[in-house]
Amino acid sequence: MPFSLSIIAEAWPTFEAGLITTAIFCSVASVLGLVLAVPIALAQFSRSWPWRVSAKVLVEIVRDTPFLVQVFVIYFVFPATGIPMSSTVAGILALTIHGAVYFSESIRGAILSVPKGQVDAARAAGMSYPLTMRRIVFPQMMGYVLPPIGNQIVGLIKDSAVLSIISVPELSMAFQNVLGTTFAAPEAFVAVAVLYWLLTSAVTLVMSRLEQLTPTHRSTQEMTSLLAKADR
Amino acid sequence: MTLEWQYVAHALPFLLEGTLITVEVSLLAVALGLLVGILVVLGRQSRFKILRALIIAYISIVRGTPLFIQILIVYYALPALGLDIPRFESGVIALSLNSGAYISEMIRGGLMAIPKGQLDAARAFGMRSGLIWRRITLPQVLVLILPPLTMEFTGLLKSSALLSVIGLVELTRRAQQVIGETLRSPEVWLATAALYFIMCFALGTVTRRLEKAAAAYRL
Amino acid sequence: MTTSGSIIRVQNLHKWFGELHVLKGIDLEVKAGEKVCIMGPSGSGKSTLLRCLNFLEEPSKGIVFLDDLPVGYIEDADGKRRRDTESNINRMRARMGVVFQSFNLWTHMTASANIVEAPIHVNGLSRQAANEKALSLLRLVGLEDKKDAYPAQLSGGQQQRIAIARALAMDPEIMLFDEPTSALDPELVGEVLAVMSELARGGMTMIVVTHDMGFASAVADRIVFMDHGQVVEEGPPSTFFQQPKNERTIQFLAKMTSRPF
Repeated sequence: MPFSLSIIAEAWPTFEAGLITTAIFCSVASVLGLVLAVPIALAQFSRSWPWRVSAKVLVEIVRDTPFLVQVFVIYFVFPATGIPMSSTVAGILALTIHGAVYFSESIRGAILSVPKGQVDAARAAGMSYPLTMRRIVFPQMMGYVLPPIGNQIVGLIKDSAVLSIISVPELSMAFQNVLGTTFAAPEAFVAVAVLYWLLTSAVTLVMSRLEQLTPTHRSTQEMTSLLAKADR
Repeated sequence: MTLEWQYVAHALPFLLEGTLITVEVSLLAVALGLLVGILVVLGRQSRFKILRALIIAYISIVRGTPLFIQILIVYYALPALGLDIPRFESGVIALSLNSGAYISEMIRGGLMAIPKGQLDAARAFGMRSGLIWRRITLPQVLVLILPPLTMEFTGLLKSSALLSVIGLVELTRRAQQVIGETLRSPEVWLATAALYFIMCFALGTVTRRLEKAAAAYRL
Repeated sequence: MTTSGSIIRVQNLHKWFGELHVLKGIDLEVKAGEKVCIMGPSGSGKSTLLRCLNFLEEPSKGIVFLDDLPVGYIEDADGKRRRDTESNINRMRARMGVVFQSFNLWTHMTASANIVEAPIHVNGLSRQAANEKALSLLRLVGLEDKKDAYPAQLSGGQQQRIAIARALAMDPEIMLFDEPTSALDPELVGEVLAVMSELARGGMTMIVVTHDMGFASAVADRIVFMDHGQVVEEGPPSTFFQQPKNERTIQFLAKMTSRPF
């Protein structure tokens, strides 16, 4: 059975539609997830226990159940309580919640990695909690937080393949359709693998660009160039 | 809508049956994954360039594509090559091939965590490389990778839910069957989620304990 | 305006870390313009006391007054204390400058950005005024040329001098120093102590936790000696160093002077 590029070419419109759907779903979920992740992470440092506990419970529930089951719970349980649910909404909601929790864990870890003295100095200068977060902690943790967030967005793209099960017409759905009509497994697999690779590479590229813009990165860069000069 | 939990009580024995399959598949997959991981690590040190290239390609493919698609490929594509593999076995193969790639990275990390001085010391005592591997390296690596390995097992418990798609009657598939009979979808899905949660949460606690123990061992 | 004449007054201060009783009823008064050095063996609670003064640590019992205003707590009509509002706590903190053992310069900001940060964002100073102030403070600590350097590009001594400038930029009524030279290489200690002595001569009220006996005897009006969470002895440097009364003080001084450095 020779490998045939023409099969991929013929199936291209199907793949293209799936690729675009996956890209849109994951972009929306990543952005919404990041927005939600910040309060989920911060709540776990709160001085009042109801915030701490509810954030922790949410994190544990999402981390300790399969994504597929989360999708089913959202897709089937919400309509039963009277909230209408389409596969698009359920898919984006599931990806968003999943992403938010995993992002929040990275953010929490990054906050913990900022040395306590940095916060002490800000508090001692009379800076309020939000100001300390905005001016000191967030800029410093950017360098720590971007690499794991990048990995998690890549993970989100791969997890989104599951959404074909509730018939979201995304990339792995396209793969299954092409497989079902052409029976050309090697071609379909190579095509879908390359397309997922393209998506995840784009994320990796963007994240490493962003990383170069972080203040920590800039200060270390400047230091290394200075050290290099001193060596010469 | 009111949730009617008597349906769940009725369905629980069936769900537990599925849970058993979930655990079985995941245990087999992590054991085989460990084997694959060790072979991959050894293969990467091989003299043969082609073997090394193949292994790198394998790792990139596994890490670059969704597990869901890997499962479909193993189940639907291997028969096309003339291999007739039942659901359970093909599920285990897909999961352990996936796991193996990740476990090999854990082992590499574990190996790098062992100070080079210890191997120098062993060599200074005249220990042969096989002996060093068996008495010095391996015992330490095993302790170091035990926490990430339990985490991997937890991950497999969750990702084995995907095997429901190829019709393996594990927990998630069982839940779908029960729903088919009772038509009480919300209750059953919540109960299913709870069963996964109990297993994974318990394992998470074990992992944290192991991490502490490993940290103490590492000094 | 103060009724007691003291800028800092500590009343029966206790601090527990879990089971550990770190401060066991500290009473202390510091008058405006006074320079007080707190000495004592490590683990005696002197750093914790300093951190309690501006509420970086919350006292378990007892209270700190700044200008006769309680720091961090307010008392109800029935005498029960509760935590003050965040903004009040921050307002109190902004009136005290703190210099840390590990400098704690914000690593993502240049030296001058470190100095202008709180004046702009806490005190609402204009950027231009803050920059001018930063420049004069940099001149004071002798680091004008380092204004655009990041902390990682500075030596420990330079970082600590910037940290002092940063604290001064808030126009504090009192400066708290937590072992400011303990993390420094010996050859860098002098430049930091010189800046601190300069500050003392200018009339700043200072509380300094230190092991440096030379600095303490030269600059301090009063030495407070702590051991096991209690103030064991206090007095002017002359009496403290030459005629210590308490057994533990004598032991401590003997140990300090027999040190090789």
